[in-house]
Amino acid sequence: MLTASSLSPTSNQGFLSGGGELGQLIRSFDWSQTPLGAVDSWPQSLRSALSICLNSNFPIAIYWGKELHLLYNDAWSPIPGNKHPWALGRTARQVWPEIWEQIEPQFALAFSGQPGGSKDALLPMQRHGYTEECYFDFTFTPIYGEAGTVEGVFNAVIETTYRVISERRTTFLKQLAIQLARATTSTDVYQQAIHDLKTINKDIAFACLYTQKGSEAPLLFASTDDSLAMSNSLLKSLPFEEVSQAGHSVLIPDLTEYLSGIPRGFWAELPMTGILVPLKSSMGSVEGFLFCGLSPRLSFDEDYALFIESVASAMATVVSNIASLEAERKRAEALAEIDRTKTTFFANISHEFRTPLTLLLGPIEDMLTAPQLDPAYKSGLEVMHRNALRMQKLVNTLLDFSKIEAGRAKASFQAVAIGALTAELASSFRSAIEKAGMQLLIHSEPILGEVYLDVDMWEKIVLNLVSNAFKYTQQGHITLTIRAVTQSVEVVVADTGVGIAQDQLDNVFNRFYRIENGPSRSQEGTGIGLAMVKELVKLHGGSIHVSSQPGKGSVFTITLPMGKAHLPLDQLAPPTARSSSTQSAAYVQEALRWNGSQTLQEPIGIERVGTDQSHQYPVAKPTVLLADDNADMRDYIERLLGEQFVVLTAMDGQDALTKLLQHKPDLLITDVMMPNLDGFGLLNQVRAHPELKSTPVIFLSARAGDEAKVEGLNAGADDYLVKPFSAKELIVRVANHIRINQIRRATEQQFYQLFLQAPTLINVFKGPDHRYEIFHPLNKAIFGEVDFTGMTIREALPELEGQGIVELLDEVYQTGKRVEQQERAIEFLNKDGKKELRILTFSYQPWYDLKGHIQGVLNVAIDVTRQVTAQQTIEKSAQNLRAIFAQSPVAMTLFRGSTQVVDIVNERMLTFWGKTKEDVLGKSVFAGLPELKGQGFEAILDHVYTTGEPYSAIEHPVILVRNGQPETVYVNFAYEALREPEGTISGVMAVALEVTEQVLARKTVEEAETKARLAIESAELGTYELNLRTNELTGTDRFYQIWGASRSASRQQLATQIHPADQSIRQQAHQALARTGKLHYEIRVQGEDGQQRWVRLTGKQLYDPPGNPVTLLGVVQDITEQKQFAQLLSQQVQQRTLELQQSNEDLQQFAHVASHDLKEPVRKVKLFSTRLEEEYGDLLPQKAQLFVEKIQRSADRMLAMIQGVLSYSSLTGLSQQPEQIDLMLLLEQIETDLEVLMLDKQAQINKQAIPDIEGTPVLIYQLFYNLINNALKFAKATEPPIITISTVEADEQLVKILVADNGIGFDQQHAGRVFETFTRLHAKDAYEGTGLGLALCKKIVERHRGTITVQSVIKQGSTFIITLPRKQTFFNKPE
Amino acid sequence: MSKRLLLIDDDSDDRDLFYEVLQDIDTTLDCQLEDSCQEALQKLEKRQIAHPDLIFLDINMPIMNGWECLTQLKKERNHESIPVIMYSTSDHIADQDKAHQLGALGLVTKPSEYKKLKTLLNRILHHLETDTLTRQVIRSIV
Repeated sequence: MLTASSLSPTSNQGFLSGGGELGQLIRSFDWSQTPLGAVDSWPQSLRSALSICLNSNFPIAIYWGKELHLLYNDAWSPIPGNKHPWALGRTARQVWPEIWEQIEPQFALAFSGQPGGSKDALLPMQRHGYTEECYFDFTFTPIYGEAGTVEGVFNAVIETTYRVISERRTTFLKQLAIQLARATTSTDVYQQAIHDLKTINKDIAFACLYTQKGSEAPLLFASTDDSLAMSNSLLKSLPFEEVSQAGHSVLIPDLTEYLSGIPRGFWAELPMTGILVPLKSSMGSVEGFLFCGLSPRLSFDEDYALFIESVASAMATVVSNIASLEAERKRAEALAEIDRTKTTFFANISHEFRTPLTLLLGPIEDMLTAPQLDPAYKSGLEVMHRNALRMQKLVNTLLDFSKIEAGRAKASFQAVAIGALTAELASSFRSAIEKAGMQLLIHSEPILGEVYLDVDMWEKIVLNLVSNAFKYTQQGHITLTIRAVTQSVEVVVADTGVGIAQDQLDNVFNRFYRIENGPSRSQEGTGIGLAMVKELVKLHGGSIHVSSQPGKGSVFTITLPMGKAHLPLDQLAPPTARSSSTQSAAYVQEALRWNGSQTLQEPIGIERVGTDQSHQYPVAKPTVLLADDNADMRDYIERLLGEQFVVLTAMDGQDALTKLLQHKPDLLITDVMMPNLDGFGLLNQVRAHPELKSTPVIFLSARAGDEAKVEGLNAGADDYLVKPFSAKELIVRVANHIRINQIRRATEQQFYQLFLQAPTLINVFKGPDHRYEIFHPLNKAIFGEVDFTGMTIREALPELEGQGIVELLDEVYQTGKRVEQQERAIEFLNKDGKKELRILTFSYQPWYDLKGHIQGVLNVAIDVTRQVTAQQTIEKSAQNLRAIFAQSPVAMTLFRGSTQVVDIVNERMLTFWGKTKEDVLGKSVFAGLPELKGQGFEAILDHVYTTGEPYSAIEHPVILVRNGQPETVYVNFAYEALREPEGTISGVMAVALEVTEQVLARKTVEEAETKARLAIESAELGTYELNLRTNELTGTDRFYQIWGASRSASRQQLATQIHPADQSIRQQAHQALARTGKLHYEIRVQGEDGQQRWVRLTGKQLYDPPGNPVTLLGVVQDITEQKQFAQLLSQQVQQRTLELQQSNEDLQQFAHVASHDLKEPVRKVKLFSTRLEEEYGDLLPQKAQLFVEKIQRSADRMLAMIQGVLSYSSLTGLSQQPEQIDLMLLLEQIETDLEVLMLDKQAQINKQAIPDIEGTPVLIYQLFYNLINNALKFAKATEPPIITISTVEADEQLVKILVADNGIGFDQQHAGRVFETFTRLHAKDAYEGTGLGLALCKKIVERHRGTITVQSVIKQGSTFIITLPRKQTFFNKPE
Repeated sequence: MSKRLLLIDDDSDDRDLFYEVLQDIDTTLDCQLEDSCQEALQKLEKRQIAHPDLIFLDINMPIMNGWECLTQLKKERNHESIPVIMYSTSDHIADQDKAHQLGALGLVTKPSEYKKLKTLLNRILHHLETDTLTRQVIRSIV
């Protein structure tokens, strides 16, 4: 600090006082040797400029004179790097030879009187012991001398490093998120990420991605050109395990410890430090690692760390989602495959059985109806006939069953008028029931709530129950009741029939359980009807129970919940117009047959009952327009949204556009694919139309995938829903968008109000042709009583043509860059229609909508015509100081005396204050700017005035009343005592630089960054700081929001919100914190709003110099959605697995029982036909003998097939332990078993040495038995079969066995099909076969984790190639 | 002393056939036929039918099936020692195992030819007469 006494009283060097190192240097410099001459001879303008320079904390330099001699302050000194302090006093050409060409024109410009400068220039500085990446905005402003000519250039510098780097990172993260969203595999994600990371090599010098594989972490991708070189240059393993266990990043302070060759990033210096970041799945497990080299030119601060974490998190989130979806998709496919196989299997069985059945029934019936039938064998034939019919019934039931199975996956629930539907179905039995002399009574009470049914299933339920009631009721009535019972609907079918004994009641719903009860209309029954009903009711989320009194009747009661909350969302469907029941005919036909009628005399009567739904639209509902060419979809959505919104519908884009203009709805939902005008076309039209522009648009599309979504959102849609979507989702999204839009509109209106009341001209222009949205009343001073609102600027002010004004507006609208014009003369036509020159200081700035699109231009203008004229007068008589003040690139003012009277003030200061000269000149500053009172400036000014100590502040908030509105602005300012030549202080000079824009810009950047992070969903972070000494906790808004707590909540209170079960997790984490200094845990938190959230906390401790922890910096993240997603997935997996198991069990149980049941009648047919042949063979006419032969052959085929079905379906259930099998021995056994057949065919089997394998003996036996049997079966009639079994390849893991024959062979193109069930390549007559043998082989081989293929040539033979593992490691794991 | 057989089967065709084959083998054979497990058990309890030396028991029957009946028989002190052969259309491995577990001698699959049934019953009767009817024998016959 330089005091007055240290200056010579006679010297004129007061302006050099202070100024730190440079002040000292300049004072001690011998200037007399330079063209500037001795200090005493320096002109006043240089002195003033230098005074500002030296007393400023901002980097400022002055280039003086024609030669541009350099003077600068401390803050500026790092800019020339090691040229300081040599540069002092040198010319610009000497100091900047390397950039002279670029800067010379800038100086020339300044000397011509025009200010210039650069934005965001990269000026590496060495402020902290290393070369730092720094950015600056700097100005070149002319300094006028006494003669009014430019004497020097004022070079002020403002650091913009933070903004530049923040913007760079934010932009990168946004871009990364968009790029990664397109990836479909995790490899894609990593590859894309690495590719993108190369573009941010200023922040991340190099990046490598490793996967976590067990205890190893192999390198996946590296951003360096040669990833091999990268992995080869690793000196030792990176701390993967530490990162993996800790679950958070680890800093690698010295890369040379790990890498022999460190890859270079953007900068000349090699990165010294690195960081290893875990890539965590949504379940929290570490799936991989990101290893980055950190910039050698940036310090690793919180922002930097957060950026790196965000990059990793963006990657991990996408990978995790892809993995979950992929796994889920595979599971779904597997299940669907099993379901499909099963359904086809049943359908096939039934179909396959019908053929031999027909062949059986035909001859039997022929024989039975033969006129010369001998009573001796008639009874046998009758037994056969009865059994064949029973068989037929069973086969038909099987078909039915397979249909239900197929339908189960496709349940589609819709709101249905249950009363009407049920009554309609039941009434189809009316005629049959009445014919039997009974009554059908239907009581349908009105149902108020919605009931969701799968109509097809419901038909089966009702038809089965009514048919059942009819079957077991001989007289009386059948009563059907439909009624509402608290939140559910009851459907009751009661009869007056035989009833069921109490001890039988439990069994009626069991599959294949047949109850022997009294008289019924038919003894036929499959034991599956009621079991099916129960399953179907269960699918509806309902229950069924039965009560009965033997001899009095039975009552079946179905209870179904109302609404749809209990039903899976993906099985809800829009209501469809329903034609009358398709199924009732079959049931009623059967019922009529019980009555004895053979055919239906009349069509089955259907009583249609009208729907009981109605729509009501209260007036205040928002309006939604729905465009979709599918009428069902329109109806569905209309019904979904109808409760909360008024829904208008349009059939295509063109129709929608017309209705949009007509009704101006609050929101548009549109399908993408539509005739005439599609969704994208419609969206373009909407966005281009000024009145529709801001209507929120939701796309509906059948195209799934992020790519389609990105495309939709890029096109400007507000949201994108993929069909099928859930009802809830749609409603929530629609409501949200409408609410957001309403808020936006309200804000806009308030905004306009504010403008209109402002004492300054504020006009708002909207759209590309600048239509007056707001025409400020103050305009009337110029234009008289007019209102230009709604007119374009060209229409309103044609006189502007050629003045460059409209062009300026265009520029702002198109580029988004603010334009400011100082004291610009514009010619207007005034209220009298005469040309009038006005001088305006005005700005045009882009006006954004909520989504960040430019929607217009905001124009703030001050008419300075008078001031400019006045100012010009003052300037002429102004003193040097005033000239400097006026020309100063920064706002300046001089306060005189202890009362701080404003003596001199420049325009910039006035602009900054928002005051006129008249307001402030000659008055105390606190009188001119009363709002400054109480903001602390009194004491500061007083202090500077009395002590002479300068004062400066950076980004100091000040409340100023500008344009009549108090506003908070930010200012960098300096106060300096003004000393008279004798050293006394006469006033205070103030220099101010408004940085509101920069501060706000920074805040905007921060906000943008936050938004970007929000977009990357995993990074919704809140931060908090815990003072470890006082236990005081402060957090960001987001922190309290995540916690669901108010800002006032203490740490204690916050802790009590943690789920009791998770308290211990927190304790453990804090214990670990004490040891490691790092915090990481996940807990559930109960918010005060009653909501429970999953929260992830990470943090680290900061220490004081002695090493005691002082502060805990923490980050909280709401991971509820991740957790829920993970939970949902695991639930779905469980559910699917359960279904899968159930499905398999059903298959086995059913196939087993069905096969058994099927076998029995066939056995009888076979038995009796044999007896017929053996005992009466001679008596039978020749034709009958032929019949018997046919019957026997069909029965044999059926028996073989049933055996096959049984083996095939029981295969999955078998879970025997694998054992070592001697294949040679096994083959010999097969030979023995097939001895008769082989002798018959004169077959020969050649076996070469075959190694032992592990497997299930029964199955492996069956495999080779089937293959050999197959070879014998398909042998040529002309030559004896030769079968060769050999091993071609055998290693430690696999055995490859060939089974070759010389049989008839087949076309190789059928090679894939022979392993499918029921595939036969030959006519049944030519070669016997069930179509199951090879399917069984394939299943056995696959069960042993092997493969089977076949090579075949027609007439030359087939070779089966079987590959089996030697060991059955995975044998017992379910498939 | 001639051996007494009991067949419990709800299928009249099968009962008739069984009886016919037995008559074919030896007209003096004592064979009781029952069509339901409950009735058969009741009659055994009340000694309305004589104590049999061997029971053939069908599996698939309404109300009480063969397995339940077998379990009941093996619970009764008086009947537990009577050898039981499950007699069914089924030849499922699981059913064979179950027969053994519940205490039956084995599972005999109903043949689809008269001759085969006759051979089968002949062998079983032979072993019954000579008191050599064991699980091994049943398995080899089947």
